[in-house]
Amino acid sequence: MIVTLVSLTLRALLNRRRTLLLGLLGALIVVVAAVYRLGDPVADESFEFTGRLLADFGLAVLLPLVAVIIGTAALGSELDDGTIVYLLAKPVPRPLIVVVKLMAAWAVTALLVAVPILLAGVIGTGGDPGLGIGYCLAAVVGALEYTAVFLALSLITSRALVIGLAYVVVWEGVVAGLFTGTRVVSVRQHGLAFADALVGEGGVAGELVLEVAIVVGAIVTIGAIAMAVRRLSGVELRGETS
Amino acid sequence: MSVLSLTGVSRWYGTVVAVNDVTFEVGPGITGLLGPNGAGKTTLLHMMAGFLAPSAGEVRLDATPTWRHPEIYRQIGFVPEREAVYTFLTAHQFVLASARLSGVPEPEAAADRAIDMVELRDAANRPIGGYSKGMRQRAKVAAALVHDPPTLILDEPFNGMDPRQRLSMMDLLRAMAADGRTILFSSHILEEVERLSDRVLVVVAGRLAASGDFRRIRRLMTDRPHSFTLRSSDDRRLARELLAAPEVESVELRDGVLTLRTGDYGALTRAVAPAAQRAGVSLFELRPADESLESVFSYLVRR
Amino acid sequence: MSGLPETAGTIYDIGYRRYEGPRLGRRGAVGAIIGAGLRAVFGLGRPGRSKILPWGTLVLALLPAIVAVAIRVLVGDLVDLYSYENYLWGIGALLPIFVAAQAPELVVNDMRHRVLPLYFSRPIGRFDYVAAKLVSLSVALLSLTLLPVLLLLLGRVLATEDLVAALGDEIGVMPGILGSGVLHAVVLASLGLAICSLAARRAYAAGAVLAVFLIGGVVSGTFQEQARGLESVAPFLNPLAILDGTREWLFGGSVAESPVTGADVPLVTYGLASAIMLGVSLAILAIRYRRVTT
Repeated sequence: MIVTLVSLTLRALLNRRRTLLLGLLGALIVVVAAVYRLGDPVADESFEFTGRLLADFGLAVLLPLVAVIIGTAALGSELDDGTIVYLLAKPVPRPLIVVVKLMAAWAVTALLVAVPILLAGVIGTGGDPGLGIGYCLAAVVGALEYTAVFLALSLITSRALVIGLAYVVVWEGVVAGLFTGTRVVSVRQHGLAFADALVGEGGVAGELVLEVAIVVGAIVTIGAIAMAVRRLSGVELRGETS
Repeated sequence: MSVLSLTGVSRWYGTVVAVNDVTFEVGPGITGLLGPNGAGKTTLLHMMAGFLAPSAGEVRLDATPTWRHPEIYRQIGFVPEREAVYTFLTAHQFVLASARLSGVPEPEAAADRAIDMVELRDAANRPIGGYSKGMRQRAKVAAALVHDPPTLILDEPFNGMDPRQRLSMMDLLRAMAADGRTILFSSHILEEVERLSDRVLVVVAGRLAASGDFRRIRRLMTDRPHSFTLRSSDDRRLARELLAAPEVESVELRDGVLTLRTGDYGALTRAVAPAAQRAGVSLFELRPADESLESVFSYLVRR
Repeated sequence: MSGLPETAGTIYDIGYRRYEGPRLGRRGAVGAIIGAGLRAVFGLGRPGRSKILPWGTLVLALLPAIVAVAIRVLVGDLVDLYSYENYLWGIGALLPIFVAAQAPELVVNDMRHRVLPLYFSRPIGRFDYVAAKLVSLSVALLSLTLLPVLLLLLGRVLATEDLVAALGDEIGVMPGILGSGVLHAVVLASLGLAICSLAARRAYAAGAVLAVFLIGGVVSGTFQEQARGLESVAPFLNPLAILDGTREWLFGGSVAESPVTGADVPLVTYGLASAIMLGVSLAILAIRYRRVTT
């Protein structure tokens, strides 16, 4: 049962167009690092640059973009075109559906984001994996929280993609920049705190203490999963015409 | 034995009432849900399949409510009307996935059997995205019966099927009903329902307008005269004689066909033979002219 | 019986009639598309929800100018009015938001609901349709790129004692203002429409436009502070920076925060880059609209 669910989800998520697009996005960060390397920079400078690249582009732009596209599509695409009925007309427990889909979405997002980040980190610093590994792991953790939130969002509204994008651009970009209090509920900051802890000196400093980030992040993730299960159990399918 | 029962079921969306206080039971055999577009057929079927909550009343499969009880899907197979399918899967993969998700003990064998039952063997390894409408319907039906459910709910199953496909699907459903299954299907096409179902549920504007054998329903419609056509050795003489009988409301002789109208079905059938004898006319044929589902239906819709 | 007048009986033909009047033809059709496009971009004739983004962005673009001019005129020399190029750069972030919000409205719905055959079975060509949409969006964008700047000009003129002389001074800048406004509007409209024409849904289109500008901006930003050649690359990753460079090449006047200032590149390359952006966008649109059924 689980294998079938995973296989169905992966097949639906990784259609040619989407995978190509997201792959290109990931390749972009590697290209930027490579271009930077071509200029033969000094060690200290390259550390600072790579750290900023991985934080500002990798965690702040690449990760949320990929997560919003994959996360909203994991259940959202089936809800949208009506094929969810085939999934729901089976005696599969609803929590299992949510968790399996989330795991699949997380795996895809993490892969599409963490690998390029790792590569970019290694290339940018000229062979030192410290930064790359740190941000890569932070991306993996951040991916879980992001995909959980967007998966739940796709069950709440049919415009999940737009709202998710608005969240990333407006809330995490602008609002969290202006009002320090809101940083606690910014997924980006959770990821940055993680990276900070893993990387230590070299990375870009996040604004949160690690413990706070872990607790709030866990609460958000679990809350999102619970919300998604609740919504899925009560989802009503009207059919096109009567 | 699986019985779907609805008790006082209503469903509304804001101020629009889609289903209005409907009560009936669906048992083994084939039941057709008939109604014009917008009558609430899909709403009813979705409530019975557990995809919509009734705003009032109860929908149960045997003793279990259908809403929020995913375990009923072991007993139910559902074929939705909406055309959407997993376009990237082949029919074989789709039916196999259905089998696996339903927890069928030997999914491969079950999938093969289901595909053969709907005669999709030749095309089973092409993606569903390239199928014709009728083939998609068949793939959906295969996926619905792969786990051998005792109850089958189909929403407009013959949509897009050509006559030959429709006939073989009807044969399939009849065979399954003969095994003791409960089959409920909806349609707005009279001939389909007339040909296939033992029982008919007529839904008009959200209400249950009639239920049962459609011929018996016809006989219950006493405020509407029945009409018969007769063939005899001398129609005109017979017509004169019949006009004298009090049961006969009107007699019409047109284009060589003698048509009678009567308010009392039973009394007329008893009166025809003696009238023919008195007139000295040989009676060749007496046939009810409007005992079709169509006349029942148009009567109910106009009410 | 005589004396009764015979009234003639006539049955009137009130059946289907063909239209025999004048037809507006191609020009009328294109004009109609442009008009409908403008209304769609500003959310006219639609519920209030679709007016928020376009009008909101417009107000945000005008606001600093209004405030500055008001202070200058009413209170006096308290505030230094922005220079025209600095203002255009400053509201630069609003332009992609406007495009991302409204360009999908123009293009994606027609394709998604397969309405294009309805358009093209009328006397308009493929490229008339595209050109009309471009004109609508460009004109709409002009409201963002021209109006605030013209307002600043007005403010400058009004704040002085000698109106006529001030007008004479500022007149020299007018071609620059108009030119850069049109430049930004046309190139951004083409880019936006090209990206949107590739998307299957409005949400994806908006996301794609945002992504292009966001990623371009971020990557350009990371390169901006570095030395050794990366600074020269930085402007070419950001469409807005390319446009800024082109503006500087054509009309002069540099902006401090723009990556163009740090880069040591002959200004004519920006003009080239703009031309390439425009050309690629138009090519994408041409290719996309060759096949109508998808």
